[in-house]
Amino acid sequence: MASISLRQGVLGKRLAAHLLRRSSFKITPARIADFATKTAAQAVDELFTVPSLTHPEGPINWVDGVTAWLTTGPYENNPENGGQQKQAVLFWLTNEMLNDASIRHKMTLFWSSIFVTEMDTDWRMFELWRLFQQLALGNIKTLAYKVTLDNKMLRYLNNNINNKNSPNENYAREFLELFTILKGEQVDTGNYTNYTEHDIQEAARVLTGFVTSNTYVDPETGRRAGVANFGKHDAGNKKFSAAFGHQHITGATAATDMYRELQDFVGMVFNKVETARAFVRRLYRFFVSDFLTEEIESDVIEPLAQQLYSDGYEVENTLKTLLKSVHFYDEDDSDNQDEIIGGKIKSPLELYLSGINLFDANQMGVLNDDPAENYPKGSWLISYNLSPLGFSYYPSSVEGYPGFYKAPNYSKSWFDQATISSRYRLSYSFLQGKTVKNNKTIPFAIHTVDYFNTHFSNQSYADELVTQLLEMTLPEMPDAGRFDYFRQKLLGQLSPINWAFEWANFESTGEEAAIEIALSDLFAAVCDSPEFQTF
Amino acid sequence: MNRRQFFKTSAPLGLFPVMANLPIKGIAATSPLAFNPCHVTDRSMVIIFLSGGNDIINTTVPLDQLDDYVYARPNIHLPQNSLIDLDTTLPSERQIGLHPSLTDFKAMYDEGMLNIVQRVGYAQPNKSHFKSLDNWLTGSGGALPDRETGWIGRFLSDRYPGYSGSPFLGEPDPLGILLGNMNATGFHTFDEHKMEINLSGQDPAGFYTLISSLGGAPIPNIPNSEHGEMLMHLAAIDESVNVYAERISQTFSNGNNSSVNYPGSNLGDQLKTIARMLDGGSRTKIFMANTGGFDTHGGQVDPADTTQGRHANLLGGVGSAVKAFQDDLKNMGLDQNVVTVIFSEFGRKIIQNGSYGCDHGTLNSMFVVGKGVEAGVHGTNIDLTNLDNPGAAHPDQLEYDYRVVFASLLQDWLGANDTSLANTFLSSQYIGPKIPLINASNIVPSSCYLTPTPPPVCACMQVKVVLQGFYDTAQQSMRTQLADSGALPLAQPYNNSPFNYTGTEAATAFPADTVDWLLLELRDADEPDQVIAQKAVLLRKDGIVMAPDGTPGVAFDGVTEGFYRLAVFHRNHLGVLSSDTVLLDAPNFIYDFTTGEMKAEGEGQQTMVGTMWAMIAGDTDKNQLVNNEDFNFWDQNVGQTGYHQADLNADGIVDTQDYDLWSGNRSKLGNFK
Repeated sequence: MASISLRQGVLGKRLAAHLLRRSSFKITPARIADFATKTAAQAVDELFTVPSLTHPEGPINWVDGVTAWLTTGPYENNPENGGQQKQAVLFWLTNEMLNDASIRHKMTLFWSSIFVTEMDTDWRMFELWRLFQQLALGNIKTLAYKVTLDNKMLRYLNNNINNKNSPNENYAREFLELFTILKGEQVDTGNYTNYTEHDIQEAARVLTGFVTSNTYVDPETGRRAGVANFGKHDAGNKKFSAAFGHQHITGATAATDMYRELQDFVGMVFNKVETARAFVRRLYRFFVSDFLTEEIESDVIEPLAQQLYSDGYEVENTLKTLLKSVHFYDEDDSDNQDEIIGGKIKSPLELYLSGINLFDANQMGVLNDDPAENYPKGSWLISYNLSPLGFSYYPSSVEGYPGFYKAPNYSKSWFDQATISSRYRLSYSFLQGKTVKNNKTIPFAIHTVDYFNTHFSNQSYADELVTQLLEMTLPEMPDAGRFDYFRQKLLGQLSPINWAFEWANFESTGEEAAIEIALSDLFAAVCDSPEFQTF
Repeated sequence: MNRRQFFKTSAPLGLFPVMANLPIKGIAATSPLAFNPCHVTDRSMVIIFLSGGNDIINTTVPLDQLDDYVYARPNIHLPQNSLIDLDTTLPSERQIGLHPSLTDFKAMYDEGMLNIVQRVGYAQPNKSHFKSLDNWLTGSGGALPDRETGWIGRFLSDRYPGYSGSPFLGEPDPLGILLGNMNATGFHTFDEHKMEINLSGQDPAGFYTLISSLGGAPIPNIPNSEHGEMLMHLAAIDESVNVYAERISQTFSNGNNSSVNYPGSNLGDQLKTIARMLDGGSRTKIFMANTGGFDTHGGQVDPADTTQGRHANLLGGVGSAVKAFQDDLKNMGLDQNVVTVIFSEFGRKIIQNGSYGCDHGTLNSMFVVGKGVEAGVHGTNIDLTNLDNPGAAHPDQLEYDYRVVFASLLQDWLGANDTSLANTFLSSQYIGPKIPLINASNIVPSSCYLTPTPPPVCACMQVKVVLQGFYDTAQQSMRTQLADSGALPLAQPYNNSPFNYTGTEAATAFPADTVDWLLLELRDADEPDQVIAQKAVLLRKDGIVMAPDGTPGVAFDGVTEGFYRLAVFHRNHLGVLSSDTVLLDAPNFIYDFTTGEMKAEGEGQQTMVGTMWAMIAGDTDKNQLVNNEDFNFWDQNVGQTGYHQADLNADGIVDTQDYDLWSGNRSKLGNFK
């Protein structure tokens, strides 16, 4: 029986690394060692201590090198610098994700994978990411409401052109089907259990008249947001189906009242426990496992959904319960090595961004330092490293990233024929500081000798050195035969004695060339191993 | 831009296709390399690496310095009467006494198929195993800067541009194959680190089974757990993506070793595998094998009998494996086709140490074996009295840079011209003077230096693209019902809004396997919004674009030679734009959209069907956007039959299957118009 009761006792290295891999991009050798001495409760509480953003002002203008480009002054939507703005945003976002020690940016990614908008090239994407950051551990109902009014979303799902004379159901449909309560079993024509086609039409009526704005600032978030245009709004009363208890929503009487009407609609959807279940299932798949059985449905999903619902959709405590549970650490039955740990395939961000921190390869520097030089690298990172791995900061389908949502493969979708060569070229990227495609120089490179010299101990003992590396990088320690395979990558045809000799020579002379080759071979074998693809 | 520059700049795309290239069948007839009367194309080179630093002094004892030899090695020298005189007709400064366990080398020398090159290495020798091997493999060492890529990889990609990783272009075999567990530095190239490995396409690191895979060696024991299930998935993808796996298995299965007895050693197994693959039809150019244990700091000899012991066993093992390999090739009738080269990362010190061994040294010898080899000894014996400070042969004694030895073989055996050698070693200083290692009847005359040109397939450009909606997963091809049922119009259908293309392309009868019409556009390379030329073409069910008469490829009229981008439009799929430039007027140029999502400019502009990437279905109103308007159009036309733009799957009727395609793609934005 699965259980979400609190896991007691210190984590140890294996579980500390598990928790860090799943809940942060900031997984480093030092943090693994630190978390290993903490209990699940201590470690998780630390991950939920969210610091202020390092660069709340966002990227600066790369021409004048001073102005906070996207947070002050009038927005430009100038095609001439649209590409630069995109690069700036990508660089900024990568910087935030890499440096955030908390769980915030995992959640930011989670929200972006649910409230999907596709690629865009201007400031609007910056605004939406800021919303995901602000409400990363906040109230889901509030987030859903704010997302609805986001300029980028208004444009992407056509609500911008949804008006009383020509209703457009696009957003209404996705809001119910993909964003919140999700489609249930089809029980009759146009009846999807959780809602009906009629509800979509009524929801679309509620949503009429919300349009984009380049100037309005939402005082609660300080972000630009869309606004209500009463002239385009269908002011009549709305009546929903039995799925929502035949609820009535009174039509707005003025532009200001339209926000109340929208709140009523969002509240109605979130008043259904099924909406809480939908979010908990997605949190479970994102953080815990691809394998959601009936047992887990009853023992994990249902109690957490009740918690989320009774917390009024404040997500923080529900997620804490999950990450502190014996279930998350595969300790709720007698076999502690058959489930969850190593049971997912890394998304490109877990593979690459987490790899940057794990291998101490971040030479990105401070965000707004020399933007003209650095911003293009944000774009290269996407085009030549993350894209070939199968990732952009916006999914290419309104349904999100297949690796996060698509049954039955879920995370397996990340690793396919199209991405395999790039995924197995990661060591090249780290060793050379170049992108996996097109060989662009990027500020992410491992200095192998420094890395092993700084973060490891007893390096002259080949076995100890290999063990330490595998503990940090692989979810499970491989068996003896496989261990020998990795060790041989270090030693070549030589003996451990010879390695000790080479290391001693390095320590006495500082001559790196010889050991660097061996260490790089070991690093490459581990970094490019199938095991490293899992987490 | 000349053709060379073109290869260089666009290598990652057209010519070194990424591994997303699944086994691609039938884009062009898989014709072999153009017929070459010099038979260079049938030849292979096998490189054997002796890991650890072979003690060359006890391998080939300098008979002209026996007193100095005994003096330098009081405990480990071989008794004079045990040595095998290689060739008493040689000048005294090249007279060698082979180690008594090298009877097989003596036999091969007497058969006229062994050449020994002495005093080989590079200036400023490095005595680290790792660094020195790295030098040998990358073509580094000496005054020139260290190289990052491998010289073998550089040679292969220079000699066979476009072949690497692209079996469909005409060479079914990987260009290089690495056996034994060693790193593949020698095969690395700059553009596609991974591509030159298996060779090309597989992992550099773990080639110790016959069929290696990406991600290193396969995991022997996959645990029974969720973690294990993920590893199984990775393994399955690995297997399916390995473009050469099937071919390698095929050559291996089709081949048969003769009745020769190979020693049951690791090296013996590797050479046996190579012989078998060659017999099975493999045309792989360079094989690399290796064996270890030569790092004989201690216990090199049996103190009671220096002709016995570890080094004796190692040398005897190499000799018997290589001899068995030669005999096997001879029995197969393939000994004309293979030359084997043996090297080690350095020699050992001339002065022995106190542990019945000797430490890392400098100069070494290389051994070249094969029926095409001119037997003999090049280079004078190492001077045992001219030492560097720690007692190894002084680097000043260097006579042959190892790169000159390889360069001589690449030219005289594999037909590389001087330009190719310069590209291989990133310098022209190793081109000569050539060492005559190949005998007169087998040397490649300069008139035969290989200039492989992929076979022309049409006087135009090749394009491959797939339509998601039309693709029938069960048949693994696109549906041809529209043409088969007579619904497909004979004249091109893009003469209406928004395309308004007025071309007069028309078919009199559709070629076999026609799917539908496409509209192709050449766009300006730098400003892709600018249309240079348009052409309506037919799409074949395997994705090949063809002229209305069935000739594969597309030719644009009145356009100058040069670089463009290629746009492909279809009447109910989102258009795609090539993410890189295409070269017009290159009869071999292929742009294949199906091998990767990123072959189409922008994010998420293609979707996967089967193992290929395809244009996205659902744009029934041709506005490069899949949205509710398309749904409405579909809704108004449900039940319509024939050639209908709401018929997204080309089965001749507008129905719920078309809805499903729309639904899966709704809210997709086309990247351009």
